[in-house]
Amino acid sequence: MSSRSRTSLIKKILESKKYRNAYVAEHVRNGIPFQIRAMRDDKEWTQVELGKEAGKPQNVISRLEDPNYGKLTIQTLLEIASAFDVALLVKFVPFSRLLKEYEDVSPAALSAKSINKEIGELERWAVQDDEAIKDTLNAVPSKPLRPRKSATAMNQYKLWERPIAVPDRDSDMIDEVSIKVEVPQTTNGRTRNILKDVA
Amino acid sequence: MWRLKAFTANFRKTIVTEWHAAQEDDVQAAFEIRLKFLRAQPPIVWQRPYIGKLRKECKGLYEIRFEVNNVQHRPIGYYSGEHEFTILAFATERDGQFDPLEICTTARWRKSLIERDRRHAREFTFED
Repeated sequence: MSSRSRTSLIKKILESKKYRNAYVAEHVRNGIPFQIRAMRDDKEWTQVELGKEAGKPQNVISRLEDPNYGKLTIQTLLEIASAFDVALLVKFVPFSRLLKEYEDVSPAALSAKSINKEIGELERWAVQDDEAIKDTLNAVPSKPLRPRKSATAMNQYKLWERPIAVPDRDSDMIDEVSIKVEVPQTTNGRTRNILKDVA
Repeated sequence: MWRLKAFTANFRKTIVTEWHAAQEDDVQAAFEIRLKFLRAQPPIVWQRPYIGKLRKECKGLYEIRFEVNNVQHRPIGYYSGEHEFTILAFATERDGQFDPLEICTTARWRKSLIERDRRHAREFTFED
């Protein structure tokens, strides 16, 4: 059970700039030390052992696990990430993302798998991407596009006849896609620029 | 997951709710977030630097250690059951001394009240 309901938390975040600044700062100050502690416990390492992996003395590790210390540098975080063989993500995010990210702060949720424990997952991810590319290239359009002007010129660019995978309109990755295709000289000697709006 | 309780004199508002409401927004956030993290940790993590065991006249009591703007806050309490911690009083610490000085006497008195009548301790919220 949480001591503050989501409704009350959102209300407080929206009405107080001081609170939301502190909310962000405290999640960083607490999140990193508790995460280091969770990952160290997960590996059953002592502070001395983590220090050896990170090239730091035990007292430095002790400070890094103390949320009251509060003087972490990105360089130190990179060294700790390397010691655990995990990635490090430092980026600005909207509040909604922060709230979801830190909803569960149990050791299991905080702990990040080292790369040797996610090889299978990485391989599956790579295969999915390969298959998606293959599917796109092999897809046959239900109604082949018919060249309008010069069949000779069009035939040199078979890719035009393939459907182009368009990202989901709702995706925040790409809002609009346009492809500019330069057509080489046609039989009558003119050069034509065709702009195909896919979006 | 820990159950966090606090002393209440009148069986309604706890001292945590009252203390929290009187703090600046940055102190409120720091306290809330520290409790959120602590609540989710296994007992082995409930030690320094997050929790301190008190000695001498404060024996049997523990402090939650957090700092905001160079002020060392020390909510004081005790383990009132398995995965259960009850906050009895609030102090700040400077140069190894609590302010107020007699905070452990107050805390021990409240603990004895709870032991006589369990209604003097209840789970708290920050929105009362």
